[in-house]
Amino acid sequence: MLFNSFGYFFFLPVVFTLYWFVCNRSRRAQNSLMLLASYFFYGWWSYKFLGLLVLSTLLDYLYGFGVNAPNKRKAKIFLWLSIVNNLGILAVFKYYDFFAIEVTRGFQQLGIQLNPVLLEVVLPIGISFYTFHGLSYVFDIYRGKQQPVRNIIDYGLFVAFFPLLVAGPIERAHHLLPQIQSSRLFSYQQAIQGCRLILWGMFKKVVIADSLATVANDIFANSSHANGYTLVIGAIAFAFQIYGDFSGYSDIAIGSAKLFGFEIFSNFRFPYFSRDIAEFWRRWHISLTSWFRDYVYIPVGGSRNGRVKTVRNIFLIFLLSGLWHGASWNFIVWGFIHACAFMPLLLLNRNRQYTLDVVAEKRSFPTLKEFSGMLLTFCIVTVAWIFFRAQGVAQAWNYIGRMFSDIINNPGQLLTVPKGATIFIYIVPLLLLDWKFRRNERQLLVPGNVLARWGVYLVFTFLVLIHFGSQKQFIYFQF
Amino acid sequence: MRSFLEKIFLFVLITAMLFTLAEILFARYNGEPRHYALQYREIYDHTQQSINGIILGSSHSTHALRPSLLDSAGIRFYNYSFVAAGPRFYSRWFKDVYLKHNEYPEYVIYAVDYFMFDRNRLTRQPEDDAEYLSSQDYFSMFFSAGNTNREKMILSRSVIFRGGKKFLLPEFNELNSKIYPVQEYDRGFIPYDLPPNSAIWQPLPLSAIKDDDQLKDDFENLIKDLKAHKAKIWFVSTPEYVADTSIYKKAGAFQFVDAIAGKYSIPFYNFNTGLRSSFNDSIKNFCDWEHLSREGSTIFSRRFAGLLQ
Repeated sequence: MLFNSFGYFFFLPVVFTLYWFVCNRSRRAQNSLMLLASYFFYGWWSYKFLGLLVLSTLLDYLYGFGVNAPNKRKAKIFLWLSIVNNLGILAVFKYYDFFAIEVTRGFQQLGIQLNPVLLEVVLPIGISFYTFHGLSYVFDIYRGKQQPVRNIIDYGLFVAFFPLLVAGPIERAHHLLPQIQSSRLFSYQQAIQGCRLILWGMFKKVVIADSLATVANDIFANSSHANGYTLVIGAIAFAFQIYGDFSGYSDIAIGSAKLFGFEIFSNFRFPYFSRDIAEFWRRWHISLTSWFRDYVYIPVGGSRNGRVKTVRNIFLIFLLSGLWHGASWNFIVWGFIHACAFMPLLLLNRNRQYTLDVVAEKRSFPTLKEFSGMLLTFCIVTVAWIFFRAQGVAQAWNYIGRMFSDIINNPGQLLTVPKGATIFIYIVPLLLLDWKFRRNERQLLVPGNVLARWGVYLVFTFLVLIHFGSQKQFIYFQF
Repeated sequence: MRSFLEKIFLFVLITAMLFTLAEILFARYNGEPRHYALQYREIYDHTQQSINGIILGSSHSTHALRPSLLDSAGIRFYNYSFVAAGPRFYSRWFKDVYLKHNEYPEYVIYAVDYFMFDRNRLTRQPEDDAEYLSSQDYFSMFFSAGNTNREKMILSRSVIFRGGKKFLLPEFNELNSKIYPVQEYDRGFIPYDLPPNSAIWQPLPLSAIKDDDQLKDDFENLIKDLKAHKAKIWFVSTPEYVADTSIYKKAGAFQFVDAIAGKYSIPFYNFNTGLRSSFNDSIKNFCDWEHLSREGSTIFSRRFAGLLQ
């Protein structure tokens, strides 16, 4: 079930009503309802793959007890079982065909012909997210940060909580489980904030992202015929499409969770206002980057074992992050570009400059230095997005090569308005609103006057409605 | 909780009222090409006399076959070709819409394409035309037991959902009337005045096409049904501006259509293989690689009428 569908707008109020009016006397009843609703939500897409979700949940639930064993050797065995199980599921559904084809190609170079059996299976929606939920739970128990959950309903809900199930944010057991295991009281403020976030998320997804998708798809599909400036427009369109799409989805997820009394981690904090790449990765898909930091980067040594190993570890997490997004070389190259952009900051010890504040925190406008930093970071990120969006590495290189060579050879084209320039009708208001909200992405600023406030809500609602008919699937569903 | 529910209820009520008002006020704005409305009007109102033949197909035949020029063959056709309409569309549309208000046709021209059995190409479904259906047909389809896409039916019926952006930008309406000049509408045919800078001249590569057996079944079942009701059928592949004719020889879709033509004794006029001529090489006959220009459709319709006689 998509968030931006009629089905969801029937589903959500029904579950809300049952949750607060029928099951409100018992936390267990609420959790059971939420779990059933989450399975229904997932099964709406495919009841067959619901079985895989349930199986994965059951296994990690059991591994959680094994990993908590006093015998460290036994605990480690269960930890590895969980890793093999979760990564095995990912390997089969997501990566097998890619590696089989690449290994075959490698052997072909050596003159050895292989005929691998390809699985060609459908990628279950949300698999990259719920397997990471399960892994983080087991890791945290192994490290002593979390106790195994006795109640299987509570654990099942942690894995399958429907607002987060198919595209995150990737929650942590120590943050979400205590909320599941304690009573929730209805809070007016929380519910209103939830509704605002849902509306804002729908606006970013349906109005901004889907409108820009039309332009980006057209330009990327016809990139061999477009001039350099049009290709720039296409790259910018995609940069904001993926931002609107994914951050919009996260906002709807966080807002939906608030309606049921849950507080979820932020996943995006205005990443395009980042002053360097390091800050970008503290603001973009925060739940994924922190997951890789805590469960990959730090366990392999982090920055504790000298420069060489630090560089290795940085490349490792960025390449894995690329691979997480898809079994394809262009995602790996995307990760590699980010690793290369991050490296100078790391080597110069400047990767932690902007950890506490937001740009122009106490001012209305950025300084020239801050603006230059934001622009440079945006340019690097946008060039990397070309690899993310392209059908393959070759297309991405052609796109970039053509973009730069055409601009250099024909600079006068800027005198004519390039195709797709209408994207700025969508991008500029989004940037202005994001700039206004930049100090707190969860407390969207609204007019104090009630009529003005409702006017804003109605305008945004109608903008969503009139764009509703031309919507497209969330990009991150494919991961 | 009470305060929250009251506010939500009030907000939904105001939104619903404004939505209804907007539907009424903007009903006259329609971003869709207007000739669809005329085609559907013909299904219900039968404005034309003595129509005894229909043309089915995608946009290739919408902009290629002029029924008035086919009159010389002694058959009065109505062109029910729709943009992106393929076998799945017709297998449902013919039963659920056309036959409810019309008899089986005596003559059928089915314009075939080499990508027609690829599920991702000709994606139009009857739900996309929900705005043109009568209320009875709409609710009958909406509540039918089959795999109706009800969400799409709601989106397609509503002015706001369907083309809200378009009524905010009247240029869209003007653009549609420039590309599809409705004043030249001819029993379902309409010229396609594509701006030259929007034209694509590269054909769809065969490697990008994946035929679907279900669509082949839909196609054959429709043909079987028409034959059972004694319709005289012709298959036609309208001319395309493609130099490499091997696409058509290798296309699985055409091999299948050939087999169906043989099985049911249906003449198959393929103007991209056996009947290819210098017409296909003259760019003035085309507005892009796959659609005939105004001039091209006139020449082609006359030529095809001669074959029908």
